Amino acid sequence: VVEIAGPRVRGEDATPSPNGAVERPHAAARRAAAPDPLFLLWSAIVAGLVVFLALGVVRVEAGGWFGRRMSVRQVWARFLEYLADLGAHPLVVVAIAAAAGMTLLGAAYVLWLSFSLRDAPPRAVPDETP
Amino acid sequence: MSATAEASAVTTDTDLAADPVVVPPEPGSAWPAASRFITVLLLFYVVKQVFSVAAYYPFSGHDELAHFSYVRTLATEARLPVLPDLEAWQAEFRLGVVPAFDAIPDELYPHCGNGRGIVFVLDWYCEPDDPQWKRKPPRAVTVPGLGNFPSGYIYVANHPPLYYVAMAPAFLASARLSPVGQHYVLRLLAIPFGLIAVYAAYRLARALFPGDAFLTVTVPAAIAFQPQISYEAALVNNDIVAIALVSLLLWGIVVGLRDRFPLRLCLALGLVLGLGLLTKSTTAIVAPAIGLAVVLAVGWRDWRGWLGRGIALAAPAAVLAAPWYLFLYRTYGDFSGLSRIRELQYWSGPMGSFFALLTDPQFVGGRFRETWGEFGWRLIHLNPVLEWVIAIPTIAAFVGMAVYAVAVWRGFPFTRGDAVAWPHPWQWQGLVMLLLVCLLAYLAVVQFGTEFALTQARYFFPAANAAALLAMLGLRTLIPGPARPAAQGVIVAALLLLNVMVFVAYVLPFTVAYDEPFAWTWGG
Repeated sequence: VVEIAGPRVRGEDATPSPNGAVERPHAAARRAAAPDPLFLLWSAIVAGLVVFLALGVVRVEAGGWFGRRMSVRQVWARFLEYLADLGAHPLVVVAIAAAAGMTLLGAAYVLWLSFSLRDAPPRAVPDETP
Repeated sequence: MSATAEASAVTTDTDLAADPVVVPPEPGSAWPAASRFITVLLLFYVVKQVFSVAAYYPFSGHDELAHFSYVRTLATEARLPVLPDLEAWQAEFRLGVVPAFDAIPDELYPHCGNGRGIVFVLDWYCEPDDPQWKRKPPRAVTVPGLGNFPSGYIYVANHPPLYYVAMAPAFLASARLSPVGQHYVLRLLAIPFGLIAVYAAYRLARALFPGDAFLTVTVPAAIAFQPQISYEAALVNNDIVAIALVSLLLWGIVVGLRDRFPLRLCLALGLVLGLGLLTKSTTAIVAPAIGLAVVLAVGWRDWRGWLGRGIALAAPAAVLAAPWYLFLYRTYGDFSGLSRIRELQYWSGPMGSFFALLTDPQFVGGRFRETWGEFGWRLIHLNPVLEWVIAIPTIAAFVGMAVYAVAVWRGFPFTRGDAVAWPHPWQWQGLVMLLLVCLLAYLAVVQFGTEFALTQARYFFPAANAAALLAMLGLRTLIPGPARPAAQGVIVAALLLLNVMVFVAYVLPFTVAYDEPFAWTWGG
């Protein structure tokens, strides 16, 4: 058995790189010249999502509007109207809209971190006991 | 190239045929990049769930009216509600009076449905626009050939009390709000239990396969984004508490296998198991796995070792849970109250025999649909195309699990250098325990179907973290190492897009168009 205890090439606290957690200098130089494919993928997904939410049209698949084609913005506007009709205070409506916006921003960041995380160097990643 | 693989290249270039190396974890050290990921995921989860609470129509979740009424009875009358005794009730009814029972309050009748096809409650005749019932909600129904039955009783009264006790202070504190406002407060209080489930999924993945980025990312993300588990964490219900507690137990089982179940862990597991049994009886599915894991970790020959640990586990669980189960026995004559439910639910009945249900593709398909859709008390069905989009990777995960099992068994050379493919005994024992919990949870769903028409996939959800880990392990097996960083992001992206579609095309339109006549959709 050969024991692998790789050197910690990169500080664990550094911002993770989607191009690989451990890189040799020439790999890093190459990366500087070429766009990271995972970054491009992440960008495409996020951009596609933004475009869909801003301009997309969906076929409603449930409830009283089943079968209608509506823009996402229309669905959202009707939802905010519904909250107001339900008697929600304007601040509550704003808070819910803010929660939705933060959810989308948070999702983009979670997605970025999902692409970025790499296997931890051996011997460096135990589980803490509960 | 992964960090592990790169490290291998640095140190073992001359020995490519070396045996796989599984480096044991070092207690006390950390993995900040993973900690950052889970912290952001949990924060994201909170805001997503706050939005979800508002997105689902009030009281539209399964049994929300009944759960809310249970909390109300407990909070305002300081007692547990009880299911009506059908025989006594019918005897009194024959005398010309409608006997009183622990009922869903009249003031909630407008929320039972819209009178145009939408019904959110079992066992309460729901015509909220009918002037007669609007004035005085129905409390009895006559079923031709079967007689009279109570209507609008708190049909979750046989559920253990922990969730309702935990919610009672919030109910009292929000007494100035309308029932709808109070129900939103209780919905918000489901979020912390969802957070526990997500965090436990992360700890489970890290405990079992420390340092594996793919599982560290995808397992908690699967729980955080799984639409129905997120739904549970935005409703007034006790299921999410059971999910959270069993998730903790699953994590504890794996840590116990690794550390040979130290006494402190046994006591903690016993405490959590007891709380689980006080939350929902489905928690019991995990008990055999805990017992078996203790015997595996300690060794069956060391009977003193596993007996002592067994006592440390069972004693707190029994002490906590026993009063409730004695109450059930004294009140209903059994340890579940289901015999009385069976009498009251004249419309329900067996779905089939155990083996018929086990092998019935429609039954399996129904549970799959409920696992991903069927929001709004089974009124929001997912489009079959979308269901197939979900089913294909699910099938792939099953195939991957089988491949993984064979690869571990045969020790395929191509898996060398991949610590996940060369598990220690405690690791594969942990995987077997997770599989066992999944099997028991599913068989419990099947067994319930042999008695009641309304068996549901959510009874499986306490095993969600086990299923998520096994499914992601299966997918990981099918994905070549260099592609895993992209794949883990793509899986999270797919789950994110699924959530967006569920809200935009299903949940929000359903909520907004509530007052319009309901159109039955897929599979209805």
